[in-house]
Amino acid sequence: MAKVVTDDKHYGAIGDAIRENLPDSHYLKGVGFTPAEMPAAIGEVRVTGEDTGYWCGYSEGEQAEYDRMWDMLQQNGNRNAYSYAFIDWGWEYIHPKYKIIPVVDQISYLFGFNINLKKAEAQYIDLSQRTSNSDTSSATGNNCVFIGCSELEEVEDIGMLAGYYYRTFRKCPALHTVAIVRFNSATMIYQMFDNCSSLVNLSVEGTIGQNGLDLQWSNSLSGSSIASVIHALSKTTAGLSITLSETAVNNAFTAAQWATLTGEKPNWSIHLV
Amino acid sequence: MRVRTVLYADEGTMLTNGTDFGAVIWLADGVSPDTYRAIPMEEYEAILAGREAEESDEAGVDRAWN
Repeated sequence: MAKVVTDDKHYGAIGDAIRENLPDSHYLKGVGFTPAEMPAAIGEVRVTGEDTGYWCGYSEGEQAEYDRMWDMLQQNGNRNAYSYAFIDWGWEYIHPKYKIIPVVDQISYLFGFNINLKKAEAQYIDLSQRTSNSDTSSATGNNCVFIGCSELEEVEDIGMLAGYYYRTFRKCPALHTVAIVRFNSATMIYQMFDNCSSLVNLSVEGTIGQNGLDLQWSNSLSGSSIASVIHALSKTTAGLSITLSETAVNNAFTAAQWATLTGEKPNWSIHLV
Repeated sequence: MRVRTVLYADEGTMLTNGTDFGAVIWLADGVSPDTYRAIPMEEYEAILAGREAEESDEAGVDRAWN
């Protein structure tokens, strides 16, 4: 036979729980409550708790847990290999306890698919210390570092070096600014900025000497950014091409300005989409 | 005086050299226009869609740590 619990028994249990959580000296300690009085009595439990230091140590505990997590993840600040380290994380800003400084190993997908990430700040990330950064193989480049970061708006100068740029910023439709990317004439580029439809500011350092730079989605790319790309094109290669947005070029340059700019690099075919 | 050849795709088509695409092509010195052919826009869009599928497959593999 099913056990029947009446409302009175429920209320009685709630009243007992309230009294148990009040200090012995509290004037409500030995008082019975009607159901209507219980919400206020529960409020008394909270107020009493705060007055008696219930929250004491909370922030210290919170900090201790933060430290414990990052000390473990970053090996007390000694971690130097970060491949895949933060793939799929949900943070908006990369604010670790220790600056992220990969030295060895690849950095593939370092922040890949961080769909809430807004900004990558130089204060917290330094990719320039990698010992094999000049290697052009896919193992040591900037492979998919920010791929799929759909809310990412800005990447400061975080020391991106002339490693292989394979889908580094692919599927970053909110990306507005990339402070600096660095190339050398051997740097491979493949689908680096695919779907970057909001890109305005891009500064290129070094020399672009390989096929594959495709900025066709970036209709708002600024004139100075386009010029930065053109200036970086190698003068000694032959048979190579880049792709830009026709809308961006037409918005940024007159026909005469564009002819002058492209005239700097007659050895490159320039595709406009 | 330098003369630069510019190719323009017809409406509804895209020009390609087999690897890259463009509606307008500022040709490099020494590159023949014959290097390029026009393809229907639908074919171009299908190629772009293929890239998407390729990425999805790859991401799935990478996330599985293979």
